[in-house]
Amino acid sequence: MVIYASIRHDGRHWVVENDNFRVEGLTLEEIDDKVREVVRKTTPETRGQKVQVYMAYDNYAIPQWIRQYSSHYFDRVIEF
Amino acid sequence: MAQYPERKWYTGMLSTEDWWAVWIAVGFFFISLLNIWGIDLVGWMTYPTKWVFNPPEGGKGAISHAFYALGKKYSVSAKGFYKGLGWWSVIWSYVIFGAALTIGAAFMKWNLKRFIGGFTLIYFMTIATWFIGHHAFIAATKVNMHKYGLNFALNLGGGGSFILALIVGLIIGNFFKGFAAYLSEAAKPEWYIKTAIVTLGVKLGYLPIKLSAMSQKLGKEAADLTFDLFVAGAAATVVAYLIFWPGVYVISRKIFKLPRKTAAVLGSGISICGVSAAVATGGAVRAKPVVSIMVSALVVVWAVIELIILPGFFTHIWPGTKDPLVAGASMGMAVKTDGADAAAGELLDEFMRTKIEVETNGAVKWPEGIITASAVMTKVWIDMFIGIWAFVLALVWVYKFERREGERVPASEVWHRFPKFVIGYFFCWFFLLAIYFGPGQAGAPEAMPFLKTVKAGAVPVEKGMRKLFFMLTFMSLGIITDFKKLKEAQFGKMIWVYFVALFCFIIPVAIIIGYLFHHGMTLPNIAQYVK
Repeated sequence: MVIYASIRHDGRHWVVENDNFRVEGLTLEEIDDKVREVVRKTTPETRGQKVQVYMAYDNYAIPQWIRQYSSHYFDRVIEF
Repeated sequence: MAQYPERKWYTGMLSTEDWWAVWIAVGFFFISLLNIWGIDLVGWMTYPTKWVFNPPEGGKGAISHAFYALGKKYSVSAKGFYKGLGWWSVIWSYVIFGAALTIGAAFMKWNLKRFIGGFTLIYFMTIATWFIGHHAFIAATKVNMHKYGLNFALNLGGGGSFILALIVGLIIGNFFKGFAAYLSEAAKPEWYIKTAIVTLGVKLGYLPIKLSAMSQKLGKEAADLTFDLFVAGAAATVVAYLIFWPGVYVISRKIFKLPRKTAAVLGSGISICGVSAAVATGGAVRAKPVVSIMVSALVVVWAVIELIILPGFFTHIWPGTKDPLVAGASMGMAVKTDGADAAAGELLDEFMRTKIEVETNGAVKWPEGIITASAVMTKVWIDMFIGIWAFVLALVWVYKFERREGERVPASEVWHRFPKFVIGYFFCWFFLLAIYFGPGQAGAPEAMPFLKTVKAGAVPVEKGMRKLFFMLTFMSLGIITDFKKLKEAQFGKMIWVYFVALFCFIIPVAIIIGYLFHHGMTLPNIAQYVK
């Protein structure tokens, strides 16, 4: 099962969110732990299943003057 | 605003500058091809010519002809109409290009009121500098200055206009910061240069057609030369990657003791391709975006410093007119950001062509655009490799340095980081080559009437549109470059890493690699065929 979410950095925290959840963390490790926890809680049908969370960096969080040079920061995937 | 849907391969096609450079340039290219069927919808594109206040009797240079519609010279089906446009072609170009760019800006959700206001001011300031830069005192050479009644000229060719546009932009960016901030919505050098680079693809495809009109052999030589540049540029770029990045990374870590992530991002910014590489690497090593943003701000300023220094250095100190393509290729590897590199390449093209004409008293003339192409070719390869490089770096980082449970790197990253404007560049180039080798019969005399119709469309795009977008790039680069940023304390050591790495490592190595792969390539002499 694949769950899609956006990721961005607000200057202090990494923020991962979609329509069902929003988590914040100072490090990516912290974010990943929180995402695992919240997905298991909010999406019961994932229990017992292999889950992939696809985090697409929110391009609108890149300053506009930089977007003309490069509009893609990174996408990352975690599996559990 | 956050976005949750899955990122598809076509995501961003209507919302990024990269794709809009393709749509705008390829759009005008297709419209230009209507000339094959006798419909000329691009002849209005404006172009300057040299002028003086008091033209000599029987000489050239009336102010009333300082701008003309290119269709006046090249149109097959509407020459009479375009002849009447004269200076009005400036307004036609403003309205049509302004409309096309505004559509792009609307799709990218920019502030349209500010974009239109900013673009209008930038456009007319650009036209003003283009006009002044074409005063014969600045643009004429000692070979043709007598036609304008002059006994002395600065021998700058079209380069004078570029320098003026950059100076005006820098004055605004550094002394009128409020005004620069207002213009910033439309001061988009990378968007303009990416559009210009796609039209450079039209130029490359058109070169064999142009030279075929002089001699069929010259046309084939031009096709071969551009292909040689394509291959040599790729080879040089691979070698440059293998040397540059590790070198700058080691300088940053061992000499300047920067943290690993900062060294990686800075290494890419200095050694590969400026801002886009810094952003790609920042993402690959999972750095906080602020690292890439800081490096990018630094790159933009340093790239303009390179743009100011290198074209003059390569033209007048080394290698001069002996090896113009070595100079071009080295420029592509040394100058960071596409905008500054292509702009520097165009300046080099103007300087070198003017110099060879002056040195030989008009006995040698080189076709316009090939030296620019040599500078852009290495940069285009570098741009294409960024995605692959960042992907490899991400694999190393995520699976070795900072292993996190369950994390993996999606292969789609390579595509998301691919510079899409490159697709437009190659598409236009190969499309015109296909016309040249196909119905154009490789420039055979019987195909010349057909190739003339292709030329009527191609010239306004590869000459008028390309030069205008280069001019907009120079002006915008100046506007967004604030030298005071170098003084900001937060950059600290990074400025010195940049200085040492660039001048003591990157530029010398770029010259060596450029020499190894491009030494001996010669440009065709077209002096006997042109006035």
